Amino acid sequence: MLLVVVLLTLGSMYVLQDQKRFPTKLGLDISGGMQVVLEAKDTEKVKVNPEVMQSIISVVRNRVDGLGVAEPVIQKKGDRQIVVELPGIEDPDRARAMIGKTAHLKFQEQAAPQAVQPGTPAAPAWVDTGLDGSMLRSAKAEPNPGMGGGWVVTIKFDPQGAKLFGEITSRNVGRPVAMVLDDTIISAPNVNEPILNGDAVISGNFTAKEAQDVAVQLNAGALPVPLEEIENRTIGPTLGSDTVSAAIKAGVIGFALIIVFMIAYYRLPGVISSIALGIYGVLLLAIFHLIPVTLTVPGIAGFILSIGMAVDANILIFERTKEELLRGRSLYSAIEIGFKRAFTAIFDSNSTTLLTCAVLYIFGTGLVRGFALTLALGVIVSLFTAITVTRVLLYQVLSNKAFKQTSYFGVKSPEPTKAN
Amino acid sequence: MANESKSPISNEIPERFHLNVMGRKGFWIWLSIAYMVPFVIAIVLCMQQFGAPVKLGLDFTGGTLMEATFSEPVTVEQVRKTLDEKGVQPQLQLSTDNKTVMVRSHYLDKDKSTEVKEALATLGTIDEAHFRLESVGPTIGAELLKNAAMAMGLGTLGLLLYITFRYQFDFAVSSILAMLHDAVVMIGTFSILSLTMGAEADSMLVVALLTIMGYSIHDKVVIFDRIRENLKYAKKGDTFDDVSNRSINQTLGRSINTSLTLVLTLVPLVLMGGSTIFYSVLVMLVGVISGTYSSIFNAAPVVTLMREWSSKRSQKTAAAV
Repeated sequence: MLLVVVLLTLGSMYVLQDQKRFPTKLGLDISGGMQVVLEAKDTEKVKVNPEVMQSIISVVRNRVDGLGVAEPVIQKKGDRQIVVELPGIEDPDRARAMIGKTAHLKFQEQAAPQAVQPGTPAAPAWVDTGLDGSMLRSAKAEPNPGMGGGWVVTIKFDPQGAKLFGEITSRNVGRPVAMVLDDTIISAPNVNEPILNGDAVISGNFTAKEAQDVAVQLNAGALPVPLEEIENRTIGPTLGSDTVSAAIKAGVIGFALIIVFMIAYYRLPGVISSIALGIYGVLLLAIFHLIPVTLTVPGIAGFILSIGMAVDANILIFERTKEELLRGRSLYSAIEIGFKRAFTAIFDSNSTTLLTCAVLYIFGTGLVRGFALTLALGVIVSLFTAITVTRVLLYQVLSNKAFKQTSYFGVKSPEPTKAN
Repeated sequence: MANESKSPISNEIPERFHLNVMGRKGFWIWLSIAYMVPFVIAIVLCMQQFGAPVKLGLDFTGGTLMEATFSEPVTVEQVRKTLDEKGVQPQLQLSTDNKTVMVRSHYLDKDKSTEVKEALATLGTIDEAHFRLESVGPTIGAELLKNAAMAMGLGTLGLLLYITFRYQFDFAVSSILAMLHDAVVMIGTFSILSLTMGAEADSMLVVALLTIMGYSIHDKVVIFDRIRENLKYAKKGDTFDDVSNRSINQTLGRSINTSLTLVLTLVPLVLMGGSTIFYSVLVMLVGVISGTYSSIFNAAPVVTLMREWSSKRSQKTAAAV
């Protein structure tokens, strides 16, 4: 068992130092950055539903990818909201203007090849055709019905769109027509023949996923809904790191104070629970890296508080052990009973905390949720370190005769039992 | 006595210190009620002034907060005039070095807040690394409040069920009452901070309240656990009060030491944790102290009082029948 504890601790330390594979995830309030909540609004033509939301999210994701932010978060929240987190964004104003735009889809063709001077094959420019997303009825990804297999995207235009598309394809046979969403080309297939009935098939050796992506993006352009920004939190990078270094300093001081108190009051077991507490900190932080849990300022406060609560189990056990020693039990049996009797109290009290955490996690949003998760993980890990780790270490130490004295447990050596 | 000295393990622990809680249970409960008065008054004053038990921040009400640091000092008049031209009449707060301005206003949408930032930029170069914007639409705040209320209600119900299942129904009621007492003390503390220092509630406060309410229950469960254990070994003639008193005293060291360790972690956070969590951590600190008090002095006495009350009532009904 001692071996397991040592291995776990070493493993955790390994995880902690390996910043490359298990980086510390910092919340926006620490790293700085921007968090935006967007809400999709119904229009006369389009009611917001799960498919529409899927299209919007893919559009927003495209825009965010265009910003070149490392590790952006794009999440659906509720029925019609999208949360976008951009850690460490350089130009929040530009990003803000870009991601909340209503999607705009248009079809472009290449300008007629001009008399190009020999030796300079200039790439032909794309020009608008007048056909846009409002004339597109729908796009769908389907398995290729013909030879060759793979997936295709079928698109349908309304009558006006069909007419325009017919004209465009007629004059562009053998050349590409581009579908452009928010100034990004989604697809630019070559026209094989004029398409006059408004039903087109884009085939291009798509995989199922690629075909889906194209269809979803085309639909976003076909059914545009406005996005309203309903929340924005932008925090400069320096501002966040100032707060967190203060919180960490406070945490270290709190940790040191607990250790001083535990050793002063409980002596030998105090030393052991301090070691267990150190292991607790290392294990929990390693779990945060593995899951990974995003660290926020409230999360750090929760972590620090959980250190105080982790000690509680040890205090319960040691108080009970002391009591049993005062009753005149031998050291071993006092410790054994201390652990056993304290267990129900530890179990019930921590169950209530976990129950609270569960409710907070289910009903909370963002910050509250992160805090609940931090605290719950803390409680679970503390049960392991405060009970198992402490016990293993305590017995290990007691196997050395020099430590087998009740005075090390803060109890005066009992007067030698009078023989009757 | 000769009989007892045979066994070296005695049932009674030599007590270092004895606190007779149950002997004066009425006193302790009245004391709690008495010191709740100023907190309740603060809450009522807040209700009158802000329409809520505490001054609600923009997390709940919706609104826009902008904090901008300029390279050169600015004056409040300058900022006010610039923003006035944009039709925004905010509350302004300037740092002591006159370089950082805090703008609070009703909710400004995307275009408006961009406009305001651009207007501010005409006053001097804004340091982007220290820029902060918090803009919350009114619907989000209402949602947060609804979720918090829901979490609190369901959490309480869950705890009630758990303690009833593991212990007894009146233990559960008593711990919920003691927890509500702690909630009043904590909310009242924040009300006082709202009234005197303009503290505004944010989602961190919700987190703080819920955590300490959870801790408060955790603390009571430990004492109830001891009462449950001691009831099993109770001697003939022991009343519930005797057993409770013994249990409270046996767990006293633990109760005090655990809250001490929590206080030890919270005090550095209050002193140096930074302004964003200052008020919430302070409320947590008060809550831990209040929770420890109510665990020791309120939880068990309320159980006995409830038992006495219900047995009197059943006697009365018995007499009536």
